[in-house]
Amino acid sequence: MNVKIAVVASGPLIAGEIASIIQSIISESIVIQTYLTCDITDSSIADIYVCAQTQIKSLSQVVPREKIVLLDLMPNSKFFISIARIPKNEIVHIFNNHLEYAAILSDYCKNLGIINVEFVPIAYREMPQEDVFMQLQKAKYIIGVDRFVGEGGLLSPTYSTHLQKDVVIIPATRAASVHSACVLIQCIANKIHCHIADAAEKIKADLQSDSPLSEADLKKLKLEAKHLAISSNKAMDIIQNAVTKSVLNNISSDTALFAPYSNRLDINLLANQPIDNFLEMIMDSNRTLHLIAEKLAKL
Amino acid sequence: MELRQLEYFLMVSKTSSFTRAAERLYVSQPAVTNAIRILEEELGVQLFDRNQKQAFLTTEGQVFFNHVENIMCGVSKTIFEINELKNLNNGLLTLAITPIAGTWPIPKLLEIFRGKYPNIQLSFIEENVTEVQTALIENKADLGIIILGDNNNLLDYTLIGSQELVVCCSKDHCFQRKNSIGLSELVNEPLILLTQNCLLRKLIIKEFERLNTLPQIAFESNHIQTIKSLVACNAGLTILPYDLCDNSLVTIPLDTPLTIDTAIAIKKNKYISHAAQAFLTLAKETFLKHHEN
Repeated sequence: MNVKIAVVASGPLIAGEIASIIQSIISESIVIQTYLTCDITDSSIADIYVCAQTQIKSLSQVVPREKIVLLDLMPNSKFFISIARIPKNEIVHIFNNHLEYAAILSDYCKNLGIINVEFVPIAYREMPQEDVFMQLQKAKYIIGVDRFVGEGGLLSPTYSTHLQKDVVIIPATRAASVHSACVLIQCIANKIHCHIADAAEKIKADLQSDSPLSEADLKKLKLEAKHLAISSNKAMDIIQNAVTKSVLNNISSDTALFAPYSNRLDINLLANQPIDNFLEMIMDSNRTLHLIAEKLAKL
Repeated sequence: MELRQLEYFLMVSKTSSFTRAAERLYVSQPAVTNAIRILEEELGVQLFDRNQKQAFLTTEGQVFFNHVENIMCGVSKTIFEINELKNLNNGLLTLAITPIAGTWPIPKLLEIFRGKYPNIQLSFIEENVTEVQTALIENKADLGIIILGDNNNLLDYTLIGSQELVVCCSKDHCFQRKNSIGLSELVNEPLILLTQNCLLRKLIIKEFERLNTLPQIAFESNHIQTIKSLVACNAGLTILPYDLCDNSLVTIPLDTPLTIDTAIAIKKNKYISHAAQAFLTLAKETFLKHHEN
């Protein structure tokens, strides 16, 4: 697929998290590169730039707003279900670098009805280290974004030595909110749609050229049309599955997508058709892609 | 995991019943029970308390319900619509049709639709207009193809064509050389019509009543082919849409032309599958093209 995506973040940890979230939605067929915000000097390196809310201001000074997609990251259902199983009246510590996101996590939980436990933030970048260690020593339950409560953060030697032996750590695997994922999918669908439409038009124009076409020319055009049909099928698979995946990732990170059907062109059937019909079917399938993009744009 | 599992989970939560959820989703109760069981296994949590008569959410189930509602808020309809586009080449479209479904543009529409979506399985329910409308209301069919004239408030109608009615007689009948004919000339002739509850018959009788008369009905049948065979062997005359006549019969236009309108009927506020939507769009396009020409 000829779509390049640049993931832009202030640090490599979050850039990596966003890139893997996108990868899990749109499969491996689309090229995703990660960049630090300070490294972006112009808008020529990618078709779509993806970032989190905190980077939008700096990024939009270099990249046109219409090329930027803002991805909201939310913990998935499994995280909240695990917290809901913590006994009543327990204290739950939220381990994070900043207080602001710890407060957001606590609000998410309360809004979902988890109100029988008390949330206490541990913001390791904003609190004195002694206070952080003291809170960790008391903690029976610690929750937080997986990258902060994993090996690179809470389980690193700096903090892990202060943890109780039977502490329960609940990591939040985050996913893109369905709304923001749909904006990204819509952008990708539009890019692919335009690419397929242009390629189909080019083949059509070659077919209608004034100079007569030789057998070899026709064979070449038919082969191009066949490749385009394969790309069209691949695009339809990616986009339709991406929409479903964007929802399911919000439930659990390890959900396997069950996708037995796809709106695929039958390449073998098309290969026996006159090339005009072949192109018409590709363009028809491409209209479905456009229809999906239109539906997503209305969200 | 499938989106359907979430859809089923939300419905069971809202109705507090697996049976009622299945009824509202038009699926079997075991299908719902099974989907929820798999979802619980995947999440590693029990979502419903099944010990009581009703299915109540557990504490974890309630948190999951709130989260799924947040996730799907404002997007569920579109997500399900897009998901269903996958089935466009593999779905099943059930059409409820009347005995006069052979009139323009229905055969043409079916031919084009079959060519465009060869993998969609078409299933037909053949009934009279009233039964077709009931089938739509009871969700036994996706779309109905009917003639207009006995409309139901629970349905929406989209006009897709009009057809002139003609008198048909055998090649041996004394009317065979007539260029046109009035209904009053048929009063003393034995007529062969569709059965009593058929709308086409009702419309024809109404026209006779307008002339303060009634036809003599010699035979009735719900099968167009039977009617045509009886007419061909000179057992009587009939009145049919022009498209349903063939070379075995003589067709005579009416002095005052009578037409019937063909329409696609859909249950109001019903979610339309993409296969059904594709058929409807094709019908509208064909109707427009025909009018432009």
